[in-house]
Parts: sequence; C-alpha cells; structure tokens
Amino acid sequence: MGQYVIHRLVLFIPSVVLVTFLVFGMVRIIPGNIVDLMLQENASGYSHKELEHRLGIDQPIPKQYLQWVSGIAHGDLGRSLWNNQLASDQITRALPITFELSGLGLVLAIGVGLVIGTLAATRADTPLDYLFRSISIMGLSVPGFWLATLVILFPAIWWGITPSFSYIPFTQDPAGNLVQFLLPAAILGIERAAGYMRFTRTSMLEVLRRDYVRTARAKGLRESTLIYRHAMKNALIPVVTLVGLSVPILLSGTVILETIFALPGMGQLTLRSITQRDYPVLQAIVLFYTFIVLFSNLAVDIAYGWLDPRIRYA
Amino acid sequence: MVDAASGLAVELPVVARPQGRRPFLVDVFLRLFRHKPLGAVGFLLILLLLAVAAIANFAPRLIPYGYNDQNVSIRLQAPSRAHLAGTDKFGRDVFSRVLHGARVSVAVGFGATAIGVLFATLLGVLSGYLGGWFDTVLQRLVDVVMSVPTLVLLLILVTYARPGLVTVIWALGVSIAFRASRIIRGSVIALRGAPFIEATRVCGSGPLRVMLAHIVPNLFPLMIVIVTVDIGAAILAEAALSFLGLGIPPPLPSWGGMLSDRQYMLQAPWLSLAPGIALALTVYAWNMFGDAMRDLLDPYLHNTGSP
Repeated sequence: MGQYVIHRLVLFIPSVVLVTFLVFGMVRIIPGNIVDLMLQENASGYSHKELEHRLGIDQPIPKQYLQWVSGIAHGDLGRSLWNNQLASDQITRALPITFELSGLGLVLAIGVGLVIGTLAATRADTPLDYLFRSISIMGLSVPGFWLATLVILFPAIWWGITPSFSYIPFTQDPAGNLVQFLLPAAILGIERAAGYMRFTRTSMLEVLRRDYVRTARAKGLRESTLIYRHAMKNALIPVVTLVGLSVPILLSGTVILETIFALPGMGQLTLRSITQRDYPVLQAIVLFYTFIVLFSNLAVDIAYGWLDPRIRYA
Repeated sequence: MVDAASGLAVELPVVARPQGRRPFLVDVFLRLFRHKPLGAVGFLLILLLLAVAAIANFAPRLIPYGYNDQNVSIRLQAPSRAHLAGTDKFGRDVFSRVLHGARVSVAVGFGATAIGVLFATLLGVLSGYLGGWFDTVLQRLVDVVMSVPTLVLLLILVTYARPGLVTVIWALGVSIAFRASRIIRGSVIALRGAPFIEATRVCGSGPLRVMLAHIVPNLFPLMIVIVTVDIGAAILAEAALSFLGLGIPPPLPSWGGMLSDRQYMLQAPWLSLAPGIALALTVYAWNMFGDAMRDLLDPYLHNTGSP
C-alpha cells in the first residue's frame, strides 16, 4: 500500500510537468499577438512594451519557462495586471469559499444520491423506483443556473424574500454564512445527486444479484442488515470513483453559482480574470484547478485499496 | 456472417451486423421504438426540436416574429395572445426568440459533436493503433486537459477568438474531442487484437489501410453513442457560457443568453420561463435518447467502458 502511494506519486511528476507546459503555453499559443489582443480588449493602462514585460514574453521562450517555473517553486504565481495583487493572495482568499460551496454541495449530493439510489435499487421496478428515476433524469436535465434563477426570483416576487448578496465570512457570522451557502450548495448538490443516484442504483442492483447476498439472505439475515452492512460496502466502491471523477464537474458548477449568488470564490475570480484578460492570474488559477483535480484522482485511487482489500497493488 | 475465413477471402470493411438482414441503423431504431419507450419519447422531442429549428427561418410566415424585431413601445409586456411568452427589454417577442434559439442550439449541438468526434477519432485511432511514445504523450496530455474543469476550459478557449457562434462551436468541439478520444482509443485497442484485423494485416494491408478501411468503420456505433450522449451536454454548456456572457453574443438568440437578463426578471418574471423550459426539455430529450442509444448499441462497442 505504502509502496503503491509512492509509485503513484512518482507517476504524478510527468503530469505536473505537463501541466506547467500547458499553462505556460496557454498565453503563448493564442493566434496573433496576445498583447495586441489585450490592448484591444481592455485599457489596463500599460503600454505594449510594459505588457510584454509583465507577461514575461519579451524573453526567449526557454528562459521564460524556466523563470516562470522557478517562480512557482518559490511560491510566486505572478501578479495581477489590474491591481498588482499577488495571484496567490487572491487565490488563498477565494479558495475557502469555493471549498465550502463544493464541499457542502458534495455532502448533500452524496447523502441524497446514496439514500435514494439504494431505495430505488431495493424497490426496483416498483412505482417508487420509476418515480425516483424520472426525477433523477429531470435533475440531470434542468440546468443549475436556471434552477438558481427561479429559486431566487419567485420567492422574491411572491413573498418578497431575497437571499443575501453580500458575502458573510464564516469567522464573522457562522450561522449567517451557512444560511447563505445553503441555497447554492443545494442547487449544486441536486445536479450531482441525480447522477450519483443512478449510479448507486445500478451498482446496488448488481451487488444484490451476487451469490454472497443470496447466501446471506438464505441464512436468514434481516433485509436491512443485509443491505446496509453487506451489500452497500461493495456497491459503494464504484460510486467512490464517480464521486472522485466529478470533482471537475463540481468546480464547473461553482463558477456559475458563485456568479449568481455573488460569492467571491474561485469561480468569480476565474470569470473576472478571463473577462479582464488578466492572464497571470488566470494561469495561476488553472494551475490550481489542475492540481486539485489531479490530487483528487490520486485520492480516489488510494481510497480504492482502503475500501476494497481485494485490490492488490503491484 | 463474417468468419475469419471469409474475412480473408473478401477484402471488405467488416462492419458489425445485427442478427437480421436489416440495415444496422434501421434495426437500432426499430428496437428503440419497441423496447425503449423513454428513448423513443426523447427521439420524438428531438424531431420536434429539429422541425422548430427548420421553420424558424421562415419568420414572419410560419412563426410570428424575427429574433431581433424590436419594438420599444411594447417592452417587458406580460404574455398575451399576440406575444405568447411576453416581450423582453427591447420589446422583442420572447416566444419567437425561443423558437429561433432552437436553431442556435441545434447548430451548436451538432456542430460541436461533429468536430469533437472527428478529432477524437483521429487522435483515438492514431493513439490506440500506433501506441508507443505517441500514445503515452497524448494520453498524459488528455489527462491534464481533462483535469481542467470543463467550464473553465471552455471559458479559456472562447477567449482565443472573436466572440461568436463559430467560436463557441469550436471550443465545445475541442473539449469534446479530448474526452472522447480516450473512449475511442480504448475501443481501438480492443479492435487491434481482433482476429479479422490480424487477418487483414496478414493479407498485406498497411497501417493506414487497416485504420481507415477496417478500424474506423467498426467505430461507427461508438461514434453514434458519443454524439447522442454529448449533444445534450454541449447544448447545456453553450447555454451556461452564454448565461455568463461569454457564449453567443447578442442579438443572436441563445436560451442561456436570454436567461441572463436577470435584472429585468423581477419586473417581467416570464422572461425566466420560456427559454428555461425549452432548454431543459431539449437536454432532457437528448439525455433520454442518448441513454437508450447507449443501451441499444452496447453489443457493438468493443469495450467495457461506456462514454
């Protein structure tokens, strides 16, 4: 196990190198001159020469890359072209908000998805199962941003209730902060829950058909013990993969929900850096996103061994 | 049917055939209507979408208004007989704009998946068939690109060109291509070891011929599955981009873009309904249809992973 973790970490290195190539190339493979483009798109108050220098593209390419990478190694992710703030500072401010939103959303999604998925599987092909399944396909089809729009709009029209659109930090008012996150997290969670529910159902149905379940049933085990103690453990293994793989989808969702609910997280930061063509910040953000996702993939692989001792790592 | 011997004797592309003598696609659709009622409903909704997209060009004869017919004197009016879904901030008929929006959605859905599947096949076949360093490098690249959240990737890609329909289609196509190439590669690796491919190689076919004449035709069912499963997601992603203001630029009617007029919605809540319903229904239809097609084509997919 320990060896496997080390092995995976070693394999991590080429991916990380490739990530740096890609993010480095991001501003350099743009057709045409990026500086002209930036000067056209916005008036950041820099001259052509200054912008080139700020982006570090006035040097030969290999030198640029080495400078940039050594900067990252020193924790220097560059500075914003707009307010000269350190990109790393902006990200550290935004990251907890995105983590809180996606974490709450994930917990909700897993909770709802697993419970309903298991219920649907144990009552397969009953009206309840059909009801849950059609709801889940609807859940997959209704766009989160539309749902969010409706959920904000109609209570405001009917009862005059609007959620707070100014961010309440957790340290200031924990209760107010949680209340503020509840709605966006619920919408983020509903979108994911539908997928988890379908997957849990399929996985559970497959496990329930196995021999050991039949044996357990034959020896007179209570149905609830059978399902929650014996079947669920095996049924959850593939679900863990799905949850791990949905991290990028979850992060995509936060971009939209943070915009709608005015939460100053990574999503808002991403959107702002894109509309302002603030490439140093954008590069730092993409670097961060890929690291989060690559690490979550690693975590999934390791969680496998922990959940399923039959898996042997060679 | 094809066995190893006839595969040797006749140098024809060997496309997996269903049990009967019906053409492949006819067979699939017959089974869709017989065994997959929800998928069939999805398919009928898709036909409706295509019909709407086709007639939307014929304003004002077949549908009431053009997508940019402004009349400021009737701005933000509630739904009425003349304007079934009300009017927007410029006094444009929301219902007509939703109908025109179907054209944009259809263009984005089909355009993006066509580009995506084309490049995915190119990359997937080369990567899976040739293997070696090309495969290794390409797959690590796919890993990295896939670890950027899709929406963030799209937001970056659309900044690479002037805002417009074509830019959005290309951006979506590129993001689909990376993901789908992984699936196609898996299938190609499974096919590469198949006896009939061995046979054609023994007959003296070069790599190019094997890939084009034998591997690619066998990927056809998989391509159909990828297209049907991804179109809904592409339409949804376009809506999300336009909602954020970085997708289809106005005045072109995009359902997502129409939903971004949030500052008028307290005054005119109907603005939030028609485009959202159209979008959800379209994505729902593609999801149902895609699910059904994946089940129906499963026997032809040559691999265990599903898109």
